[in-house]
Amino acid sequence: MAGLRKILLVEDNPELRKMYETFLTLNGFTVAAAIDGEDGLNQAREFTPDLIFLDIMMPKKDGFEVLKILRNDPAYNCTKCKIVMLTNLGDSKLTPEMRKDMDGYVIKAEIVLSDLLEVIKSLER
Amino acid sequence: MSIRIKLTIIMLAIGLLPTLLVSVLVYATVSSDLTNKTEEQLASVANNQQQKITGLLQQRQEESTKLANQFDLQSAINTYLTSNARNGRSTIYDILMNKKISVPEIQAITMIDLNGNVIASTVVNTQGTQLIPDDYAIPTGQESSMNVKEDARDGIHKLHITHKVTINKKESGYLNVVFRIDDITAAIQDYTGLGATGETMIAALNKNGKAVSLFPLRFDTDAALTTELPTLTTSTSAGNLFKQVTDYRNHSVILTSKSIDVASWVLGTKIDLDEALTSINQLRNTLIVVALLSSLALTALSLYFTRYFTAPLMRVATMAESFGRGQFTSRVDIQKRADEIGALGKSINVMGDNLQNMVTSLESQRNRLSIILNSTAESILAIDKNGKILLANAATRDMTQLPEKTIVGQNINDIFKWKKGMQNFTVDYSKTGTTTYNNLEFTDAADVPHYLKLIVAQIEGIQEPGAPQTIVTIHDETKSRDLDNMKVDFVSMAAHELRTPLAATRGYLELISFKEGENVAPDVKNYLQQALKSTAELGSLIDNLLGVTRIERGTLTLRPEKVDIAADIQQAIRNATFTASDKRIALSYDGPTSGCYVIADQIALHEVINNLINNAIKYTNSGGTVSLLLGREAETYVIRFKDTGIGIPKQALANLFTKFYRVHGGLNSGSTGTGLGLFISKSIIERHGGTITVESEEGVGSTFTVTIPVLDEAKLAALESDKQLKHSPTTRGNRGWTTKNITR
Repeated sequence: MAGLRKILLVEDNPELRKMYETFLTLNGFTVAAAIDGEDGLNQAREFTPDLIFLDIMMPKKDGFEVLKILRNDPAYNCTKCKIVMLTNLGDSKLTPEMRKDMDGYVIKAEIVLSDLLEVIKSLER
Repeated sequence: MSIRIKLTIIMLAIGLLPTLLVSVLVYATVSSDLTNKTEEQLASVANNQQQKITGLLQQRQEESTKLANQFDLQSAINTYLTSNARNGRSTIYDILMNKKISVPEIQAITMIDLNGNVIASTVVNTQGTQLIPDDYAIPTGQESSMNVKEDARDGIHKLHITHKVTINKKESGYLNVVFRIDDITAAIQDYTGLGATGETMIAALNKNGKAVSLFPLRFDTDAALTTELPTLTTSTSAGNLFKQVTDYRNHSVILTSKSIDVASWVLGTKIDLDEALTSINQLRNTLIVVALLSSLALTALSLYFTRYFTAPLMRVATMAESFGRGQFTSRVDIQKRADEIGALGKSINVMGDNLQNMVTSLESQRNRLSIILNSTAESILAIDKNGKILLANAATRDMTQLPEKTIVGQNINDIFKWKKGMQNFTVDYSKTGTTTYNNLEFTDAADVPHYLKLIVAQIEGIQEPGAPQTIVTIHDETKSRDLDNMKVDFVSMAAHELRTPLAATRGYLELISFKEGENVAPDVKNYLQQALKSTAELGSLIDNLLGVTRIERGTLTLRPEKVDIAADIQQAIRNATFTASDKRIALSYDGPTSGCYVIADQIALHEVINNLINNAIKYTNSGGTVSLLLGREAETYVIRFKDTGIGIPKQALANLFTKFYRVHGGLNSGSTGTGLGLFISKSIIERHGGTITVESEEGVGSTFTVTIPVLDEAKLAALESDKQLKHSPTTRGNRGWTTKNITR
């Protein structure tokens, strides 16, 4: 699947949100940013992204709640879009139940920015 | 029977029996002897009396006979009898008077004719007086008779001897002579000096053949004088006849009789037994008194001696009894005696002192032990061989919230409802030596959970009943565990919180490089590199902290898979080459470059190998060497990390794998680190079933040796199928990220 151009970034930490947004924009993607879970849901419906980077630990609604709603509620136009979780947790924290609905995850503290391009590239294959 | 009674009886028997025996023998002998002597004495008295009285009577018989046969008297009588006028009476009277005068004992002489008429008498000079016929009655066939009569004139008993006077062979009359008998009376009375003993009587047989007392001696009562004396009836024959009778005074007497032939009388002599045997009675009484006194004395003596010997023994026994009751304070006061009992007293007192000292020392030891036991924070229980609690210290009571009396006697498993994990746990006493059980959970009476470490130590050998067989020490680790958990929570939280700003910092540094690219001045580029390197170090530090918290919490999850350890080492060496050459350290490798498979979490194993190589380089000075060796020993791969570094002090080796431990304390070593690497490495290697050890010499170098089991195909197959179930569809990808499309 090629052409993941529209990316929604749901991240409550403003520095990280701005950093990812800047990096992805500099690399030619169309990026929208949401500041929490509810904002993420709204923007997903409006923006209809190809790919969502979804933080887990967030106010209002956490990433797993948002993920569940997006996958199950067609109103958000994202039952099929790519969703990659942004996490601080090690992968050992992710149960098979959690992994079921996601397309991948990124451990924020362990990647370098260019890894995001690798992630996107791997999902385009 | 007590020894006191026995001793008393024995001493009494020994002392008293001979005394009694001798007394009885003496008494019997003396008594028999005296009885015989009494009879002999009586016989002798009787003989003397017989002889004396017979003699005196014979004398008078002869005197009177001589008178009766005197010629002038006979011729005067003949003249008188043949003269019709009865002349010549005065002649007779004169002759009689002459005779009376010449013999002083003669009181009166009377001449009597055949008709009983007095011819002439010295008493009354009256002729023809008729006398009582009995006065001169002469038994048929006898020439004379003897009789005793009381003289009415003076009241004195006198002897009458009457002779037949024969003239010219013709019986012509009777001559009656009356004698005084004072001498006879006196003779008899000579033998009465002994009181009643020797009393003598003279009796004549009356017409009925009964003996009748002739004159009063002290033989019998006055009344008896005229009565018959039945006791003498049969005692007329010659010889002694002894008879024991009771006399008029109700005395027991021995009586003997003798015949006095000259007068056809009977002589009776008696001995009063009571008097005769006075001495023997006295002896008997004396003996009884002696026996009584000696028995009293002996009884007192035996009681005294028995007491003398048994009383101290009783005191010793009483003392021993109180020893038996556990009271060692009493003493006996017999130690001053110089004999064996004194020695016994001394010994038992010394024994008492020693026991007392022992008890005192034991008590103070027990007190000390009790204080130690009760002041320690650890719960200590003593258990007997049946698993019952004998003793529980204060800490146990605090922890269980139960009083000691509830705890003692119970089984430890009933007091502590242990759990190990989810399982119920019971203490096993069958293991010898000391057994430690970790991570036990226990909820006390107040519903407070405790986390305990249990040390069960068996006392060697079989103990007597009631003695401890097992000592159980319970270390309540709840607080330190809580503290540990808090620490781990804090570290974990802090590390997580650090990760976000770190990620942002690194990300923005990357963004600068990315955006400015080649426009960045070379020196600025260098600054950026340094900043990135530092953030990377900070990242790995945080990772290490998180790793430790995972190990501590038991949440470190490994992803076992087939890993080529040789290839992994090659990769690690390549990664380290730059650092090594930068520090001018020769990095060498000896071993296969591929094909050494193990089951491992590749990332974790890689971390361990990197850590050990980096450590080796870090602690080796420039110009040194770091060599890696890989080999197989049986079913394990052995990796050696050998350096020529500064080495590790001996005293540090034991703590080397402890978390936060750094050999040089971070001072003057010029090296950096958290001290977590070796702790994490050891945990990881042990989780892989391997070992990690170190040998080191200060100034020479260190060798770390890691072993890890050779791949087991069966185990791998099991792992693979397990992984399919658990981790599909996501597979492991690059460090830091994973997507569904990555399958490598």
